[in-house]
Order: sequence, then structure tokens, then C-alpha cells
Amino acid sequence: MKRRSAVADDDDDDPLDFEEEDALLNATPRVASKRRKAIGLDDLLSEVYKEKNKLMGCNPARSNAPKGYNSDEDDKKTQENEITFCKFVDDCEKQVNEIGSEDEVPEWGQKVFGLQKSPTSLGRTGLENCQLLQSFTENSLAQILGVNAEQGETFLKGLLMNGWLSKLAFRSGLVEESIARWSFHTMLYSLNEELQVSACDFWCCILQSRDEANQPLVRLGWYPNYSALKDALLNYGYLFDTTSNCSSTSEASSADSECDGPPANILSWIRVLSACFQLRNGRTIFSTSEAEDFLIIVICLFLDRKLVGITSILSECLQSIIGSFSDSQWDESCVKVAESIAHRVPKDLNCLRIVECISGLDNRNKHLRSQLALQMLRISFDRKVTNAKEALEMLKLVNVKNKDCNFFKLYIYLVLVENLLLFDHPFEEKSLIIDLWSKYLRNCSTQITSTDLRSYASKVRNKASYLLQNMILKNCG
Amino acid sequence: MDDPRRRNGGFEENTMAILDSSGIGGSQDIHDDRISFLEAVRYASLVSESPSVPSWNMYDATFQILRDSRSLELAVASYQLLIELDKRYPRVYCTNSGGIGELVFVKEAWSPFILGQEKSHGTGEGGSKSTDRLIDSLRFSVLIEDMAQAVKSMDFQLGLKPVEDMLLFQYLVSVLEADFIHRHTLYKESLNWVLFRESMLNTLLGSRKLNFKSLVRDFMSLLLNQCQHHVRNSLPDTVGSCAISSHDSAFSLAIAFPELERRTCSAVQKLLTLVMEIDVIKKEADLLGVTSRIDGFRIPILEIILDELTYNLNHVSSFLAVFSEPKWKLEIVLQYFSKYCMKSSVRTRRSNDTANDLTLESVMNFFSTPTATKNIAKKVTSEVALLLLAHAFQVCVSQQVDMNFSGYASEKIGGTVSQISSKFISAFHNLREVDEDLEITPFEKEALFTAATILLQEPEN
Repeated sequence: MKRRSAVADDDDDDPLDFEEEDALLNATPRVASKRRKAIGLDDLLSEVYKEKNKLMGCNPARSNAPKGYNSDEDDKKTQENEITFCKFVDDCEKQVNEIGSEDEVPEWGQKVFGLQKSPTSLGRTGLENCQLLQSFTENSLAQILGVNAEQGETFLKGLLMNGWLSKLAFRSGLVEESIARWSFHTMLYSLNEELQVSACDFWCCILQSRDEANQPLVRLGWYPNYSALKDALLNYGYLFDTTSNCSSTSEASSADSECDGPPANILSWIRVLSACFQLRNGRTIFSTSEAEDFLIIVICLFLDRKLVGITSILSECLQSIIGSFSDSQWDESCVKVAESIAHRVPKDLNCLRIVECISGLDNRNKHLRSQLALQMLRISFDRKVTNAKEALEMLKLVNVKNKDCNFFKLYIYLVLVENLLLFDHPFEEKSLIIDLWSKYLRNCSTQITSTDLRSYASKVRNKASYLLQNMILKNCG
Repeated sequence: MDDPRRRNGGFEENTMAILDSSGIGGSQDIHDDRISFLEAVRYASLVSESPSVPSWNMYDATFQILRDSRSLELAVASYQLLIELDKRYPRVYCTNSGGIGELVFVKEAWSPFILGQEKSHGTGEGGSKSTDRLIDSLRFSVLIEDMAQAVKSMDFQLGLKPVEDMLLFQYLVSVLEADFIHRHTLYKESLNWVLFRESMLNTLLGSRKLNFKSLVRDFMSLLLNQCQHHVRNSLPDTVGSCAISSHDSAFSLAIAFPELERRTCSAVQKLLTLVMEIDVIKKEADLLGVTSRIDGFRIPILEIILDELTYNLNHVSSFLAVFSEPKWKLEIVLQYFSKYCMKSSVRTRRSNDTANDLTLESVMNFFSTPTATKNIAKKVTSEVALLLLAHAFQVCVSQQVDMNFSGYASEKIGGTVSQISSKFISAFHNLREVDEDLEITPFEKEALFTAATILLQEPEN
């Protein structure tokens, strides 16, 4: 807009010129066809200027420039010089832009799901022979209503969607095996949104029910198990599997195809997993190593940007898994899980996302958060770091005055150390660590100038002074 | 004890500085700063060893991020933070000293509502700048209207605005509910109507700025449309029609949306039932003569709902399918029948307030003979009668599952489950006798199946 008004202001005496300018800006096809026959150097040059002005954000001062070249007393040589010069400027600009984009740090986000596989079929369900339908077909009502065993599945779907199936289960105190298997499979794989969500409601309701004595209200002919849930996840295209290497994930990350997972069923998968872990005796469903595996999986799911809208459901699930470990197992499992995740996650903003997603308020959460931070620092510093003190000493070696200082990495380290220090440390070490930490933060906030335009320099500086301020305030209070 | 605000002054300044956007231009930077801000508030108020309540400025900023999030990540994170903060720092709680309960209002507590004159937000801090973001009666009704319009429109666009609205609404309902629950606990002991007169919900709905009737209609259309959404909500379609450029964010909206809708739907139900509870309490207060002119007059919500359903018979089925709260679902069915059937019925002439005496069992008895059934079918139509009976029967079957409501249920149901099951089946037979072309919907088939199965398992004595 600026450009146009500028042109209009000084070109009143030269309507032809103005017209041309305007046509270039609008670039309507009609004008293009009119001009097609006589493309001269003038036009080329104007094109170049048009491009350049776009890049320069339409500087009005520059918009005067082409006017001179459109005049009639052309000196060919000057023009050629100008063209080469313009090209040179363009190239420079391109390079500057490229440098800029190199500096731009990608957001967090990993491709956690790849190509979906076709679901494992349920095989013979035995639904036709289930007790529930069999006993009814002998009833006189069955004929009036037209319910028979052949269309058993259709009828059961209705019972499931309208909530009758859970009512029947609670009344009889039993879900027979064929119905349990069928409804679980429906929940994991059905493409019918309402049906799969109803199946999930059914399962969550039954798994979470208990009487005053904390006993389940419903006996199950079949219990969900590790392999049923894990298979489903692999069918959804889950890539971060423990058994496969993480290199495959980075390779696959380029193309995003239509068939990429996860399907909408992932939500039900997460909700039912959470319900399984909330069983009073959760261990009867999953072994410790299986629970560890699911903990790793759920934490990795936080890295998928496609799931960002259901973060709260993921968090609930995370909390029920964390809560299911016994006290004696927790310390060991926590370290194992943290190590495994630290190996898999790239050391960029993704690892900060991981640490921040452990959002519970209890000690186990703080422990896991701190342990994750430690393991990530350990890998970042070539495994030379085994505790907070050593991490701080390694951090001291990063010189912020150095021209080649990688501020982005430093920023990651700062946040990781902040999280590492969340969990209690032995008392004698505590003051030493706090001392080291505050000294380092002071260095960062004073030695990086506010005019330092290098990428992430200001972020490091702000983060350091924020942390330092809070430390000082805490000590005063 | 020194002033907590002064003690936290430094923290506040330090945290608010994260949001200071002077000197940075990129929207990515603003996004990052907002995320760090939320994380910092979370840390200082919830995670830290000595957590402190966030200042009003910090609350305001968090609330503002929810209302104008510009990304799904921020919308979800700010919503989650507000919910967690409310859990940790309630605005009102009950104390119990020597058997006498008392409500304690945290005077300095921040609230997303700005209601009535007594609360002038921003006198201490913030100033007028923050108040225009808070919710009053007018903004509340506009929010509901927007949401209802969004789901009504056929070319529903999956965007961030409806997501923000839904999260905001869910948060507001959770605030209203927390306020309500504490008052309700205390009311059960004291029967003091003033507790509810001053409740947030009553103040919000009592305002003249808000048209209650159209608000209820909007709520109903939210519920009804959610039912239809279910049918056409499948992932590829929604992604296709999406107006968002980035594949991931379109996908993430599509994955989150059904769950958001479900939660919104249950928040609507929650709010409707809270209003119904207040209506009942107000009626009790009326009978005790403790209400006065300042309480104003608001049509009981149940009457509006029943009117709407009577005039749009085709809505009855979908409304009851979505409205799952058992106690009030049963009440709706009973009142529907009482509206049509009570006056002619002999057994009801005894008292003026007969609707309260009606139980599911007595309703089932209306259908015990073909002649009686014919009388009612004339008024209600046999289709609607069967539908209502099926829904009431579902409530009856679910009473064991829902512990909270069992006391009330046995009163309103008036029979054992097997008794009701057998009466339901015979009512069905009578209805068929009266109307041979009676169409039976799948839902009704399933209800009858359930009744028959229950009779097999636990025969009636």
C-alpha cells in the first residue's frame, strides 16, 4: 500500500509510467497478455525491482528507483550493470534469509506415529453363542422384537452405544468372555466414533467400579492385557518402540501420508490404559516391566503434536501409571524409564517438552522429572555427568563470552538443570549446589549483554535472571 | 502475618516480566514466552516447596491466554493450569467447628466472574484493564449463544475459536460448581436460603442482562446438536473441511474435538442440574416463607425444558439420549407424564402438589390395562409414551451403579428393579394392543431386551 501511494504522489505528470507500475503490482492476467509480445529489458528490470520491493517490505524510497530506468534515453550498459547489481542484492538477501532460517530453532514435535497397519482380526468371537443373547432368544419377546442370534453383533452394538450393556453387566455382576473380547476389540479398532467411544466408556466404567470394600463390582471373563494394548498401538503406527531403533523414526519423519496414525481410537486407548492402571491391584494386569514400557510410551506420546489437544487425558494416564508402582519398585523403575527416554529423545526443545509434561505435584513426579533431566544432561555431556554437582561443573565450562557459544544448547541445559534441582538432594551437598548454581546464573545474566543478537542469547539471559531473581526472593522470604 | 501480596510482589514482577513482549516481534517468541509464563506460574504456585497463590495479575494473564490463545497448545495448557489452581486455592470452603459448619470466603481470591455490584474487581490491582476480560452475565450469555450458533451451522468449521469457547465454558462451569457444592453441603444442615441467594450461579442467572429462557434454549440446542455431531463426526471428514493450514494442527484439533465436545456436553448437563437443584431449594424456601422480593422471579428451568420438548416432539428422543444424569432424567419423564395425566387421574386429587408424589411405579401403572393405556396414548401418543418409559426404565436399571443417587431413586422409583421390569414389559404389550402400528426404535428394543433379561436373572417374587 505504501508503495502505491508513493507512486501516485510523484507520478502525476507521467500517467503512462503510473499505469505500468500499477499493472505490475496487480499483475492481472489481462495486462499480462497485452504485454506478452514486447517484453523488453525494462520489463525484466521492473520485475526484479518488484520482487525486491516485496522482500524489502515495500520501502517507499526504493519505489522511486525504477522510474529512471523506464525513461527513454536508455544507456544499455548502465542497465546491464544495474541488473547485475540487483541480482547481487537479491542473492545477498536470499543468503541473509537463509542464515536467519538456519538460526530458527524448530518447535518441539516428533513423528511418533507412522503408517497404520490393518488391525488384527478378532477371529471367532463366539458372540452368536453368548449367554446374554442365547437366553433371550427363547423369550416370547424376541419374536415380537425380531431379535435373533444371527444379527447378534448388530444388536450388541446397539446395547453398547445406548449404555445398556454396562447396566446389564452391573446387574448380573459378570461380563462373559466373548462379549469382553469383542467390546475391547471394538473399542481399539472400530472406525465408528460413537461406537468406539461407547465401548471405551463401558470398559472404563467397569474397570473403575468398586464396592465399599474396594472389590470390583463386576467379574470379567477376560481381562485386557499387555499384548492386546501394545499390538493396538503398533497397529496405529507407533514408531518409538523399544524393540526397534530410534533411527527409523527420524528417517520416516519426512513424508506425512494420509494413512499415518494415530486414529481417533488413540483417545480410547489412553483412557482405558489409565483405567487399567487404576485397578486396585493393577499388578494383576501388568508386570513391572510392562508398566515401565507403558510409562515410556505415554511419555513419548507427549511429543506428538497431533495429540497436543488431549494433553490433559495423557497427563491423567501418566499419573495413574506412576501411581501404580509400589514404593520399593519405584526408584529403580524411575531410573530405567528416564534412561530409556533420554536415549530416544533428541536433545532440542523436545527434551524440554518431555520434562515439562511430567506435571504431577507429588514426589514421584518430581523424582521422575529430575531423573529425566539428569539422564538427558548425562547424554549431552558424553556420560561424564552422574549428579547435579558434576552437571554444574560441566556447565561452568561453557563460556558465554566465547564467540562460538551455542546459546540454544545452553538454554536447554539451564532448563534441564533447573528441573534436575527440583528433587531433594543430600543436605550437605545442597548448599554447595545452590552456591554453584547461583554463581553460574549470575554469570549468564551479567556477561551476556542485552544487545547480543545471537540466537537464544537473550533467552538464556532472561531465563538466568528469572531463576536468579526467584532464588534471591526465596532466600529473603 | 504480613500481606501476602507484598511478599509475593517480587515473584509477581519477575514472573510477569516473562510476558513482556517489548523488543521481540515474532509470534513464535510470544508463544514461547506464554508457555514459559504458564510453566513459571505453575512452578511457583503448585510445584515449588513453598507454593504461594498467584497474584491477580498472574491470574488475569493466564485467563487472558485462555481467551485468546492463538494455539491449541496454549489453550489447553492455560485451561489445565486454571483448573489446577482452583483445586489448590479454593475461593470458598467449609469449616466445621464444634459441629456447626461455616462457609469461609477467601476475600482476596481471584474469580473469572464479575458479578453484581458488590464485587468490584480491580480496585486493588489490575485496574479497569483486566475487568473487561472477565465474565459477567451478558458475556456469559453471549458465550453460550456463540457456542450454540457454532454447532448449529451446517458448515461447521473446525477452528480454534470453538475450542477456546468450549474450554472457557468448561472452566466457568467448574468454578460455578465448586461454589455451589460448598453451599449445598452447608445448606443441608442449616436450610438457609441466603446461602443460595448469594451463590455465584444464582447471581449470574438472576441478572436482567441475561435472557434466561433463550439461554436454556441455547443449552438445549448444544445438547441436541452434539447428538447429531456424533453421527457425522469422523476423522477424515473433519480434517478435510478444516480451515487450518498446518496438517498437524488440523489433525490435533480433529483428535481433540470429539472429547472436547463430550466434556462440554457434560458441563452443560452439570450446569442444568445445578440450576434444577437451586430451583428445588428455592421452592423449599418459598414454602418456608424465607424468600423475598429481592429474589426476583425466574421460571424454573425444568418447566422451560418440558415446554420445549412438548412443542418439539422430535427432540424428545435425542434430548433424553444425551441427557444422562439419572436423577433429573427421571424427573423430566415423571413431570412430562404428570403434565398430561395427573388431572384426570383419581388418585391424585388429594393434594395440590401432586407431581412430587408421582413415582415411576405409578406411571407404569397407568399402562396396566389396555383401556387405561388407550386414555394416555391419546394424550401423549403411544410412541412418546414408550420412549419415555424406556428412558425412565434405564434410570431405574442404573440406580445400583450410581451410588450417590440411590436414596433418592428408591423414593422416586417406588419398586424393585424386577417389579418395574415386568410392569414395563406389560406396558409395552398394552401399548402394542392399542396401537398396532407402533414403531419400536432400537433404543426401546434394547430396553425391553434388558427388562426381559433382568427378569430371567432375578425373577419377580
